[in-house]
Amino acid sequence: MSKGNGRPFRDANALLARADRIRAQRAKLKHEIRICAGPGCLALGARAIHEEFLTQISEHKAELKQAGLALNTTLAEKCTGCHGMCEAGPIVTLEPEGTFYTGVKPRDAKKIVERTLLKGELVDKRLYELGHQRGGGKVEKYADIPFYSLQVRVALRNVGVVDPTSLDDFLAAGGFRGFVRALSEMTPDEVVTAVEDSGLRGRGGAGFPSGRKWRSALRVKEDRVWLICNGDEGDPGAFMDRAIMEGDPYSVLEGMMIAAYALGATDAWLYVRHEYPLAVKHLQMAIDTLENAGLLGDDILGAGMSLRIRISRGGGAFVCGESSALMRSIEGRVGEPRAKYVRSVEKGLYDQPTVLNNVESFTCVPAIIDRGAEWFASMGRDKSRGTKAFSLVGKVKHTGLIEVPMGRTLREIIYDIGGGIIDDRPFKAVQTGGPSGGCLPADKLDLPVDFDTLTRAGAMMGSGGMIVMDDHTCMVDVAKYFIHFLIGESCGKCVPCREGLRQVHDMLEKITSGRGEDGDLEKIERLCHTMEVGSLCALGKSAPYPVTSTIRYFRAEYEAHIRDKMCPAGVCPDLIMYEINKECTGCLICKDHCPTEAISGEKKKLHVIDEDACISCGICMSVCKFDAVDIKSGGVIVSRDEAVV
Amino acid sequence: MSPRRAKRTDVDIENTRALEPKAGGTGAKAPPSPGKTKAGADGNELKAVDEVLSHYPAEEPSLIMVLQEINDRFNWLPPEAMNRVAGALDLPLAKVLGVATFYKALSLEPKGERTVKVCLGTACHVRGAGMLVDELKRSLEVEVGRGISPDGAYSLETVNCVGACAMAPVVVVEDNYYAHMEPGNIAKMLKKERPK
Repeated sequence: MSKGNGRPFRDANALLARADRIRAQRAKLKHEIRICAGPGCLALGARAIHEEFLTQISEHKAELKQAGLALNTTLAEKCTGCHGMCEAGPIVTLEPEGTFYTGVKPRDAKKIVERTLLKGELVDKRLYELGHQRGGGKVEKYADIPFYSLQVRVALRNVGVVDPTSLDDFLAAGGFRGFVRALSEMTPDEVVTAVEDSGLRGRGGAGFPSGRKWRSALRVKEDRVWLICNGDEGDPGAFMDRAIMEGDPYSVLEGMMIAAYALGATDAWLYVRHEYPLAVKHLQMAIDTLENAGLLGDDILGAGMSLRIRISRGGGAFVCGESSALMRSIEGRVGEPRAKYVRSVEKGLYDQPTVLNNVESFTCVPAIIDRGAEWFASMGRDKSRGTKAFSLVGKVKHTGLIEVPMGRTLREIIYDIGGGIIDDRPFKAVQTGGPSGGCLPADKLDLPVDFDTLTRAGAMMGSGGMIVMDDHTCMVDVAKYFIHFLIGESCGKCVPCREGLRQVHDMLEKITSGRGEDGDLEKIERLCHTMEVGSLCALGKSAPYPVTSTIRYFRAEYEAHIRDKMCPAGVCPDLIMYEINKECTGCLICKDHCPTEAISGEKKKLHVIDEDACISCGICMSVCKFDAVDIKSGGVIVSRDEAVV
Repeated sequence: MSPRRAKRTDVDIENTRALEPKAGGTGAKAPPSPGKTKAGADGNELKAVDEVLSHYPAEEPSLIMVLQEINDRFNWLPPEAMNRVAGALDLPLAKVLGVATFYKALSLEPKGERTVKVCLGTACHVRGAGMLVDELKRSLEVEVGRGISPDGAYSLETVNCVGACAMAPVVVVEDNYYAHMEPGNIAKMLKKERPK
């Protein structure tokens, strides 16, 4: 893991020459072991796997040498960013052949070294297995797995490919080609034109054309322009930016450097969410390396350009993802948004002109400059060009990180790439756009995913979180969840947002606890409208969407809660009861675990739950090994397929 | 128009635990025990605050970073520390408190030795994270973000998303991630994590 040659690059040619040298070296590689060190795989023990590989390689040094494999010349190993298929972690891939091992354990390192590296055999047990509806069977190479073969990776191009701590690795993958081209072949104006022509729209959620933002910043006649990269990815269920910042920090910085060149900015901030310590670490390492390599600081690559990039760690406030609040937070103040009579390209950070883009937007820029605006614009649909990264989570089989051209349908994303719903249950809804987005029902599955179509359908693209829900998800509960989330995150400055959220939450609470009355839905709808038109910033204006979209598409479910005092999905604790069925073997496990001693019964005899003592905590159901606990709501069993309404 | 330049700090989150004042514990991993922290900042602790302050220019833009670092060291913000910060940065105490109460990463309450964080991201929510919170509240006898369990070992927090949605629902205890949690195996997890 070399970190550059220690001397700053004198000019662009020196940088390109180094990239060529590294690529020539890499061409000798017979095998490269890539261990996924994304958050999912790390939590499942990727570090231990990496150590075990190193041990095994040194223990088998002689045999490997005989097979023509010497570490760092013909054999390499590295930890990369997230491969995306988090459900199958920890993931280990072998390049250049593309062998894909899933669910790897430390003890598998020995097998992989002995069998795959030395004998060229596969470790069958760790190969990816196709789902039964796709005919089953093992797949050897990840390029053949539908999850990967249907994706087009632009923003995620290096994530899972490069070692995020190595500049050499980034250079070998074509890093800084875009920056060098911009710096040596293009005028700032041409760079902005290229971004305009590419049709790139802000990937953080709003979808504002990045090129237009840059152009208006060029028109502002002030000496100083601030550049900010928004890495405050606050949407729950979204981790694309995290994966990029952790897995490919150099691309984010390269995008910022190109923007700085185009806009004449000399100072830039990277605002990274507090919950992402590894992203901060990798970005800081990358910044330090680039400073030493003469790619950041003064007189970059001898071309007279200066740029400093600093990191500001967020404080754990969702609203700071909003641009004006984010700028306040960088200034060391409370992150309250302001009304945008004057846009931040004119008066932003410290009341000076500021251009703010999201991590994914910046990451797309080097690819656009390197491969051309036409290439980027050739992907996508209507006014949404290029690709978009999504985190596909919830009740979907292949939870993980994906990137597809704009315009793919929800069905393609959820079923073809995501592999469908867990346990092949019925699809109920998909929530897009985070707390400001909306839920779309099954009849919208064939909608193409782009900025404008989703907005028209009452959801939104947002930053790219896509949460899939099955029939065991209660939509009223989901709406309540988002409103609860937003109550905590509203900055409290304007009344419609602060008080509106509380009132809506109280009414939803009333409904989910079985005290709903006729007319409640109409009241909620009126209040939501007030919030939409009266709130100061996008957080408040879009806050009602989760409620309005679920009322629009799942009104019957709300009405079941209000009229029949029933939760058809079997979720809302006040409306459900647990009941033991005749599958019960009398094993006493649930009785032992029940926190309120509501379960009575003897060994090998059917147990019974005392409804008065039961607090609907669900422990009995979670510990039962015999599927003997049912959920009842409104007198009907709702936890089993045959009774689902 | 003067550019406000903050000194860059060495951001090394993985090691911040190890940097904690040694006064509290025997093991490198053990944060100060709640009993000690509650007693308020003594001379040593104020010295640590001054050390943090010395890393940053004495101006308003440093405030959040200073408070974050103090919070990292003590696991919370002792009132004396905030007084000291207000004085050093020449800000009204109200401003310091305003920032401290606004940002979730900053705590005005002492914490137990281990913080149990339940991820409440949407993916975790739809897979039943709410039941985990209820169960933890019950078994630790604490509220979310408030209180320490009777044995002094745990505090409970919820986080919006830890970005590990594939493992939903997720519970994080310090640096350990527990995947696919159910109310039924909370007790086992707490037993495993309990400080020796």
